[in-house]
Amino acid sequence: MTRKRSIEDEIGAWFTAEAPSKAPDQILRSTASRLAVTQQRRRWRPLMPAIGTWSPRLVGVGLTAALLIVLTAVGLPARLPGIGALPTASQGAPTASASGVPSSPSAGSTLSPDPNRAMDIRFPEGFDYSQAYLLDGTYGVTFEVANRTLDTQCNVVVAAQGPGALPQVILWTTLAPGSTLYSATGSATGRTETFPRGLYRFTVGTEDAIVAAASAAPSLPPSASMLCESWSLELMAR
Amino acid sequence: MIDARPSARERATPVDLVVKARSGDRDAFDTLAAGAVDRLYAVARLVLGDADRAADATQETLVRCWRDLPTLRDPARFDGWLHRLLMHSITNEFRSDRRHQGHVRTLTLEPSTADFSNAVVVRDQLSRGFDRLSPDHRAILVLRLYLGSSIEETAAVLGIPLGTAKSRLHYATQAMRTALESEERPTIEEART
Repeated sequence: MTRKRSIEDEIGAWFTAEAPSKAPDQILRSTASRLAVTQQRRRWRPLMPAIGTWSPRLVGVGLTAALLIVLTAVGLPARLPGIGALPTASQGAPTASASGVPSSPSAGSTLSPDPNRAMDIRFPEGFDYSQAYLLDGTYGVTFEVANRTLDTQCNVVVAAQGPGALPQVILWTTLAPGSTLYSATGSATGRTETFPRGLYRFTVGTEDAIVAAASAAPSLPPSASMLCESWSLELMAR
Repeated sequence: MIDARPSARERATPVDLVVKARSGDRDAFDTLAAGAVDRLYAVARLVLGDADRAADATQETLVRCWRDLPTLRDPARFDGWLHRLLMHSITNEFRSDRRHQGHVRTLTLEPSTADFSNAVVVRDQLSRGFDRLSPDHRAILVLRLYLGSSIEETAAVLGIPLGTAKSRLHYATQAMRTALESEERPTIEEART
């Protein structure tokens, strides 16, 4: 009796019967055409390959030095007596308008620029990222970008690092008409589409890392690099 | 019955090919892709239950494999790494369009089988039970019972702790068992007669 077999055997046999023995040829053909325009990532190299051979004391000294450098970079000395001074009330606290971070042309009150956070993203030559915004979002947040407020096409980078991470970066700049927006679902070099001027809704996924980069000119490939496990972005034109 | 499932030995990918492809050798990668595409597609097809979406997931996996291959530190772990990419692509496919869930399943009759009618019924029950499972539970069943991966390999491919993999597998198997057994239970009317 068939039913006498274990459930695992039953399911395994069913899988074997159901599974196609051969993939459609179209998959390899389509893959080949996409690979022709896909560059391999640069090989990751550890910054300190010999760290395993270092003595614990040396590692401790190095970490302390690195910590001091980081603290210095974030302005800790300015808070220490004799080295710097805290701003007084008479000097006036910095306001949002004086922070040096311009407001978004279209994001409204949903964006919260945070100049203290940054990610490692490389942009191609000619890419204008002078108007950069960092923000915190929530899972499933939808950014609506009305590029009709801009003179040229809207350029957006949305990024989140690692599964479960919040989307962290969004950048606007202006693009030449006809520029290409490279988007990805599951791959940073996934689908390539050219978007006409219009209103686009960028829906950020809930778990995976996300990145999208736009080139500043039609012939210029984008470059957005993050150490993420996977990428996901849905673009929906209205 | 011949078990057509790929064995671990059949799946083992030559390390030298991976090393060459990792260095940008397209010919080597093409060989890798040709050797893996049927397996990837079969897994995607089983989990997704849709031919077009399985093809998309497979293609996405291969493209991403080429792109990210230089980041693979241990070429001997290529197969597990590739399956992990596939699972990401499958997850993205599930997420990309949840409305696109329905599909028509065709049951193949096997007249040569002695109790073919019973086999067809069982397959139908399995099919319906499998369709009711979440993507996570489908994936773990396919990895374990179709690819024949160990529970440790399965956990690594899915990126989950070993305990989670075990409990997820247990739940999925139980759900399938229930799907089969519920069809076997007599109806109230049958029990009375």
